[in-house]
Order: sequence, then C-alpha cells, then structure tokens
Amino acid sequence: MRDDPRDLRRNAATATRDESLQAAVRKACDHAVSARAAALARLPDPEGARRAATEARTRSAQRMGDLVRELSRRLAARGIIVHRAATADEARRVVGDLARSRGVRSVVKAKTMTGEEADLARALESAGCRVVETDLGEFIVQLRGEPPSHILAPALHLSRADIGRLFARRLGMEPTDDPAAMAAFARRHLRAEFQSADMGVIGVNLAVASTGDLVTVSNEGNARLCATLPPLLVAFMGIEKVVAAPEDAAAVLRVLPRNATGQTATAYVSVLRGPAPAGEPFGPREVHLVLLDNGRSRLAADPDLKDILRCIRCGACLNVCPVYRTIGGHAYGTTYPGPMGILWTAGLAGVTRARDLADASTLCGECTRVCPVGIDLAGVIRRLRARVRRPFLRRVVFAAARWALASAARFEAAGRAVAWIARTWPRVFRRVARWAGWTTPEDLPVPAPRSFRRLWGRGLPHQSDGPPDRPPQARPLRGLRLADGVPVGAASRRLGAEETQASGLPDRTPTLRADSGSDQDPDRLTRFLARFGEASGEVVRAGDVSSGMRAVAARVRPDAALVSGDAEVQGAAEALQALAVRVLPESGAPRDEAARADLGVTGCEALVAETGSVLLAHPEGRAASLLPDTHVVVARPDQVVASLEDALARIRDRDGSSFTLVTGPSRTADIEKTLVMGMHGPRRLILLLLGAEDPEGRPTRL
Amino acid sequence: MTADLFIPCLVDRFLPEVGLATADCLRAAGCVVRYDPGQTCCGQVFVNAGRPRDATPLARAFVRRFADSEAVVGPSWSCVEMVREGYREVLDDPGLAREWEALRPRVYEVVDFLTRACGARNWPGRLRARAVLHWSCHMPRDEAVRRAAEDLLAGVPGLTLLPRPPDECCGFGGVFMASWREVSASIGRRRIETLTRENPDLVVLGEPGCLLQLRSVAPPGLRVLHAAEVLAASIRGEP
Repeated sequence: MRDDPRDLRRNAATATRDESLQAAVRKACDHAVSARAAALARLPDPEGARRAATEARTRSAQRMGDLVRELSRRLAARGIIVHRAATADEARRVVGDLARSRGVRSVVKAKTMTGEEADLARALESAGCRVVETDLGEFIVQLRGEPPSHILAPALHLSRADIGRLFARRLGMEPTDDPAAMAAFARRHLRAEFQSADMGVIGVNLAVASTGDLVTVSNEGNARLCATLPPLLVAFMGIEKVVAAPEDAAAVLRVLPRNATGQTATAYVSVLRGPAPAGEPFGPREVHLVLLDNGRSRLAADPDLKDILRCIRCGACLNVCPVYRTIGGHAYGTTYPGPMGILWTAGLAGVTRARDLADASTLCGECTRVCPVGIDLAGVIRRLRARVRRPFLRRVVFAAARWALASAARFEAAGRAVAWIARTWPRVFRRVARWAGWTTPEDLPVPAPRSFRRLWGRGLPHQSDGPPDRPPQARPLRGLRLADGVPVGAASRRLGAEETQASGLPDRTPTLRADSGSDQDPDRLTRFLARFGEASGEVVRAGDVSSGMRAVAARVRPDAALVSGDAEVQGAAEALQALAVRVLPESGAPRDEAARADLGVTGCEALVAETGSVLLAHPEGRAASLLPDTHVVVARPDQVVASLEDALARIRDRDGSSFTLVTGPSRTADIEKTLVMGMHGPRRLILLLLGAEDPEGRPTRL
Repeated sequence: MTADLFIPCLVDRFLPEVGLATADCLRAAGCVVRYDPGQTCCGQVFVNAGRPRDATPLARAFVRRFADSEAVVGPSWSCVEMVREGYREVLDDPGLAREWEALRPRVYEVVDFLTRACGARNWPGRLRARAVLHWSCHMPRDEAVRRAAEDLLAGVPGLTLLPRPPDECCGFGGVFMASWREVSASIGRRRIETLTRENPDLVVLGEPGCLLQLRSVAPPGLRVLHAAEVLAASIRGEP
C-alpha cells in the first residue's frame, strides 16, 4: 500500500503551480459532479436511496466478521478457493505462490483498488509474471509507470494530447488526440493479451453473504474478459465489501453508479459464483478469492474511523473536494486519495501516518454532503486532527491562543500589539508570518488598527447599549417592510433538527424502493425501453424472429455470428444462415474462430425496467455477449421485471456459475471523460423484441 | 426585540466594519442592539485544529454570557453552526448543556435573523452594484433559508443580483488558509474565476473567513463585502 503522505505538503504546493494538471483534474471532476447531480435528480427519492444504502452498509460493517464467515462457507461449497489474508504481505504471498505453482506467465488484470492497496501487481511480477493492466485508465498509467490518480478514473490527470504522445512513444501508434482512435488501438492491443493470458485478476465491488455472489461493476468489459478467457481467475476484495443479503446489494447498486459516474447502471454488473463447470466452453476452471483484512477488523473497533468501512469507493467525495480538485491524486502519496483516502490511510496505516493528511481539508463538508452511504467524512477528519501529534511549536501557538482568548482584555491587548507591529514594521510582521507558515506575504491579511470592541465602546470592559453616537432605536427604519417573523427560537429549532439529521445517521427505515413498479405496472416495458435507450441500446421490434433477424442483419451486416441460447435464438441462427452469415454455436466453436465473430446472438433471463438492463444467465452468451462487436439480445415483452431486487431474486435460486446484467454497450470515459463505445466488449447492443410489433407505433402495453 | 451581538474573533480583530454593519442592520429592523465586550471567540478554531478541549472554556463562557438573551445574532454562518451544533461535542457540564439546548435556537446568523425572525421583506435605501453571491459551506443547505436571504438582497434598490454559480469552497478553512497557503490561495483564485464569469463588481457573502480569503485573492476593482455591509451601505445610500 502506498501510505506515505510525508511529501504531501510539498507535492501539493508543486501541484498548485501545474496548470495543465489543475485544468485536467478540474475538468474531469466537474464532469463527474454534474453527471452525478443529473443521475440523482432522475431518482424519484434520492434521499430514500441514500438511506437504504447507508443502512445496508451499516449492517455490513456491524456484522463484518459473521458475514465474511458465511460468505466463505458458501463460496467454498461452490468450489471457490478462499484465502483470508490478514495483511497485505500475506495477500502478496498467496497470489505469488499461486502464480508460481500454476506456472502462470502472463496475467491480465482488471481494476482493483484493494489489489492496489496490497501492491498485487508487484507480487505477481516478482513471481515472474508479466502483468497487463486492462482498464484503459490503468493501462495508460501503467505505461507511464505511475499509480492511479483517482480511484475510478486512474488517468484523470492526463490530457488527450498527453495520452496520444504516450501511445505513440510506447506502442508505436500513429500520433493522434482522438480518444476513440486511442481506445480502439488499446482494444486491439489488449484483446490479444486476454486471449493468451494464463491468469485473470478482478476486483469485487460487493459480495453477498446469504447467496455467495461476488459482484463486480464495470463499464469497459475488461473485468468480464478477465473472468471469461483465462483458465485461472483470482478475485480480490477487502473484507468490508460483504453485504448481508441481495436486497442490500440492490441498495448499494442503486447508489454506486449514480454517485460514481452518473450512470443509472454501469454497462456490466457481473455476478460470479464459481468456476465454470467442465463442458462449458468459456469461463475459468479455477477461481480463487483473496479476502484482505489489512487492518479492517481492527478498524471496526475505532470509534471515529469505523464508519469508513461503509465506503463503497464511488469517488464522489474526491470529485467535490476542493483540495483534491486542486492537487490531484498523486500528491497524496497514498493508495486512496481525497477525503475517503484520509480516513482509509489513517485507518489502515495508522493515525500517526495521517498527520498532514488530516490537515489536507478545508472542512467545507462537501464530502459529507455527497457521501451516498452517510459517512460524515469532514467530521471524522476533524476528530482525526485531535488524535495526531503536533509539533511543539504549533502546540505552543495554540496554548498561547487559548490563554489570550480566555479573557477579553488579553485578547484585545494581544490583538492590538499584533496590529501595531503589522502597521509599524510590516516587514517584520511578514517575516514572522512566513516563518509561521504563511508563504505568500503579498496577500497576508492585516489586523484592523482598531478592533470592533474599541470602535463600539472605546473602553473595556463594560456592558453597552450602543456607541453614544448611535442611540438604540426601537422602531424599524422607514421604508423597511417587516412581515410577521417566525418567533425567535421556533424557526431555528426546526433548522437545527434538519442539520442534525443531514449530518448524522438516518433515523428512518427505508420506505421506498426507488423506481420500482408493482407487478401490475403496465408501463414497465415503456420504462424499460426508455432506460435501455438512455444507455445507448438499440431496439428492433418484430413479429417473429426471422423477420427481426433480417432487420438486424440489414443494420450490422455481419460475417460470422456466435450464437448461444434457446429455441428462439436457434431460430435467429437459422435466419442468419439463410442470409449467408456464418453461424458458430458458442458451445462448439473453437476459441480462435469464436474470437473472430462480429455478431453475438443470445437470449436473456429478464429485462430490468428500473435500469434498462438485460439479465444474462451464463453459460448462455458468456462469450457471445462479450467478444463480438455487436450483441443482439432476443427477448419478449413479458420478460420485463421491475427492479434490481426482482432481477437479483430471479437468480437467487438458479443454478449457474456466472450472471451478467448488461446495460448498454461496453464503454469508457478514461480519456478526458470523452465517452467511447466498445472499449473491450460490444460497441453496439441491439434488443430484438419479439411479438411486440405495433403497426401504429404506440408503446406496447403488457 | 433585543438582539445581542455575537462578534466572532475574526470580525473583532480583522473586520470590525462587518460588526458595525451588523449592528446597523439590526437597528434598522427595529431591534435594540447590545454588545457584551467580554466575548472573544466561539472556539471553532480550536475544534477545527483538533483541540476541542481548548474550546470548552469558550463554549461555557458563551452559554453563560448569552443564557438570558432574547436573540444572539452574529455575522458568521460557521460560528453560528459551531454554537448550534459543535457545542454538543464540546460542553462537558450537563447543567450547562441544558442551558445550551435552551439557547441554541435563539442563536442566529444576521441575514437569517433579519429575514426569518424579523420578517424583513424589502430593504430600503440604494446600492448600485452588479453583485454575485458566494454562499459559504456552512450556510444550511435549506432552500428556504437561502431563498429568503437572496430575496432580501435582490430587493435592495439598485442592486442587480447575478445568477449564483454552483457553490464551492473558497479555500479558507480556518488554519488551512495559513498552513496550506499555496493550496488555499489556488482554491481561492479558482473560486474568484467562477464567481466573476458574469463580470460582477461585488461579491456578497456571509462569512468572515470567506471574506478574508476572497479579499486576499480578488483582483483590483472587485469588492468583496459581507451581506450585512451591503444592507448597511444601502441604508446609508452609498453608491
């Protein structure tokens, strides 16, 4: 773990002089902030969603030990090999030994901040592996030999020109500043790595104790590829990511993408339950889970810091933090930057490490206001300041201040002396201020020659009704209209109550399942289609599968199709064959041929109205929904379910080692937040909706 | 109504004119204004610097001093927040804590007091300015509070209130302004950039800390004034 913020002050000062860094960070953060606001505004009850997520994560944190044991038991029963690593060292040893014993030479790695915390890549490299970061942003910073500068957008500190030059220098790409061209180049480069890798590494965003589901959210599709092509998979998670039940997972999944990237749902929510059984063509044969403690159990007992165990790593607090926005992520020198990083570093590396970190905040409270799981980050940072040891000089200064402020006469005398020095010997005043930490003398505020106290009363101490020249007035000024005020006390009592509620834990139980309709809701399909469209999904409606497939083929003109699914998908395959498209069944096709298919056709388990997602139960479509350029889903209107809870309930008792909620095509925004479709997975997602043809073009009602 | 002035330490020593303007506004609204010169500081600086115990004597003194006040009114949202919310963690004496519970709803920020307790709706006088608002991070996120304050300022004859840009910290942060000067100033300059997009000649705010910070980075020709100063200047009919 990078946990050495010793150079924070110096790095921060340097960062303030780096205009291009500041511009890039600020632009990316502004983008994230407005996307988040828009996404939350589309939720019918954002506060309710936040409360539900807070409660789900509070339950997790309170029962962490029990839940982790339950999770481990279930995973073991499903054939996942669980390693409990007490320290980062132990995690590195586990992964290194594994790589050595399995003869692993190349590793494709998806994003895992917990892996970053344990310095996983270094462990694999010292075990003789070549580690390739596959998230576009991580790939970019790996090429530069840098750590990520934001927990979600690792290359946020770089401009498109920086990245274009990097790709030209390191990969021999024709120089460009077009993010789409760079993403396409990286896609080709990395696809070859996926095909040949011996081991995949992924992170886990949350794990459900009661079902043993490991859930990973992603947009690019690289995590899915890591969990689909290599024969060996290692999933990495901190023990605090466990939640009790699927409803809790749904509550988290509702706030995570909205707060992280402003999406209703990320392109992929993958649910992993175990290795792929023999006979299935894709998926890892061997799955390991590393559960990293690294101080988390100890942290649970810390009265101030324990709240950070609720953190879902959405990054919202980074994007709004005035300090992060000014200095960027690298200046911190820690794995986790920004407000959440202050708490994580203090919690995991120890409070003594956090001295300068604790000061790296204006306490503006914006982090507390945006946190989707109700962590009072600013409050904890303030309390943290009370726990770090200060230099002697600072303690003397504050002791003096305390002494002076204890009496009005002393305060006045001390203030008058300082004001006199500042005016009589400005250079001495500036030098002292500089010595005390004020580095830019030209903008140093100077005390007023006379304090308010003197101006008011001209003498200490006495109770005054006002200066002699301004007699008290019992009537309002002429021209001022006074309506009936709220009685003194009453108004602010209400205000006080609100403030307490906003900053503390919610005291109500969740009442609303955001945006979920009842089973009788006739508009479910309409809502599904609206959300599906927002996520850039395309819809083709047809009375039957043959005519539908002809319409699809006219749009995408495929050469070869990878197909996987039931009777309707087989019908689609026949229609494609009739159009002279080469059809490869996913279950029988050789891998290199499957890799060349430009169209994938699958059925689906359900369509989710709340998020516009398509639920896939693999093995069906594990590759067909991921490898080709275009993914076509064949579905019927009666497959629409209302909410994320309904979707998770669908798979609760279903057999299968892997499921995916697909919401729109694969995408990235890692280069200057410019949206590029088809990063690692399909560039287009087409829904072929059967039996839904409406000659008058009205929305179909169920 | 009798209003007791709550003059934060920064106002007393750096910005006495803000205190005088606060008194003028309260008188204009028909209050009898009192000032107890025994007061020094609410203790916020100690809590924010990680020395909450140093704030305890100040909190005790504050509660005792103002226990019998009808209303306590000060020109700082963060100091008012400190008294209303922060004292919960600082006061150690159960008897005083009870007195504090009774006192806290009577502690007001000045514009909030004028609009909500006094019911001020239109403000007399004249002040010619194109003004933009910088609401501090410690102003409650309660739309009613904000709208009341904005309506009062917008109603000042001659004052054009420009659309308020998104709220963002000015980089003051108490001790942060001094000990992290480069970062603080950089945040402040960015804030000024956002605030001046529509070419205002005046920035209006409600926080002495923001006032010191933004004045330290404001370009020449841009005035930065406390809302109470704006209202007081309007009564005096200053240009």
